[in-house]
Amino acid sequence: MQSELTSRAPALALMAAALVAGCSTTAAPNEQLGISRTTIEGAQSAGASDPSSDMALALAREKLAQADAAARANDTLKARRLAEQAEVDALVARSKSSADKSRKAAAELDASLATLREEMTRANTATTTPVRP
Amino acid sequence: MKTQWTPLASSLATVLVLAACSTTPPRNSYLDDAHRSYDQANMNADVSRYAQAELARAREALQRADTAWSEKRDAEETGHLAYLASQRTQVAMNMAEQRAADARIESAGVERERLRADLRTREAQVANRNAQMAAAQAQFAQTQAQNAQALAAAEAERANRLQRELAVLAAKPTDHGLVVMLQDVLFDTGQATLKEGAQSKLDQLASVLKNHPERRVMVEGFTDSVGNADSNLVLSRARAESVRNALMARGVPGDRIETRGNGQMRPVASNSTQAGRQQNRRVEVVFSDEQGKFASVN
Repeated sequence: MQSELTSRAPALALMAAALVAGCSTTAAPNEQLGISRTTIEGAQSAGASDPSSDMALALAREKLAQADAAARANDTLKARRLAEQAEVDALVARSKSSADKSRKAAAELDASLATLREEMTRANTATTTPVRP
Repeated sequence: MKTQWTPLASSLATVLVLAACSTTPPRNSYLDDAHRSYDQANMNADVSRYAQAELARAREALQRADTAWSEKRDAEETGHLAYLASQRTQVAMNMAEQRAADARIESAGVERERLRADLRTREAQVANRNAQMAAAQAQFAQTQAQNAQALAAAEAERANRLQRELAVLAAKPTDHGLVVMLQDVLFDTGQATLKEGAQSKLDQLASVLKNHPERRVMVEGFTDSVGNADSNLVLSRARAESVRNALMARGVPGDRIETRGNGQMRPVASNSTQAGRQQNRRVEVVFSDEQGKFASVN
């Protein structure tokens, strides 16, 4: 038994090393939870306030809550995945809200440009209209 | 025996080929979806211009998902990483859209300022033009008023001059216009021949008419009450004609001179005295207005 366990030790060490290497590109659960929370708060304060962004943010918060629960239950894998998903969900909500705002502003500006061009055309027409003294 | 081997070998080969085919890696639909949306974003011009960093994060997530699938066949981790890749791709798309719109806002803002400036310039030009036009109109009206004033002044001046010139002939302004009375030993009784004493008055009258070519005259003959009215009418016409001929002889065109006989009508003095009758044997010269019209012909 003892000798059998000892003979497996290098293999276990190798597996542990592989796991560490695999995780090295991702944040530790606690750290990731912090990142996700910050990202969600950032999205919220950036004014991701339209209904679809609201829903996406609510979903992100829900995932973060589940991640917290999983972390408390020592389910690190589940905690990490949920926290990572919460982060990208918040990023999508925030970027979508910003894109919507800019798109709307650009459309308004285009409309005001069209109005100005129309006024310009009228002004040009006015100058070419002959007025008899 | 040997003839039976061949089909067996070929079917065996077919099985082997099929087996080889079945060893191509199984697909993961989440991973495939993530690849599709990533490829789409990668071809998007706005993404490559405005969201390279975000797309790199998506690519990184996608590569981790690929590794999780190809090396470990870990469906759960692959699905998770594919989800992260898809969401990161969406972030890249959103950021690209936002930044493209922001760039559009900036350039449109510049264009708006330019247009506003153009519009202000154009409006100023229009206002300027209108002001110039108004000034020209005012100038035109003023000139016209001045012309009218000058014309009226000239007309008044001519009328004044006529009056001054006729003053020596003792012209009187009447309802019919200026009237010059030619009397005082003009004709003998029953005669239409002008007497010698009328010559200097006729010279003056002719001279006034030459100075005022716009005026015409109506020469009206009158008689005293001696003799009958019909013959006096004929005589009065003859007296008017005599004056007309005398004026024409002094160079006044005949078409400016009308004549009329009034007989013994409208006496200016009593016909009961010699002196009064002398006064009534007369000719009145009525001046027209500047247009050659007589105020009223009765």
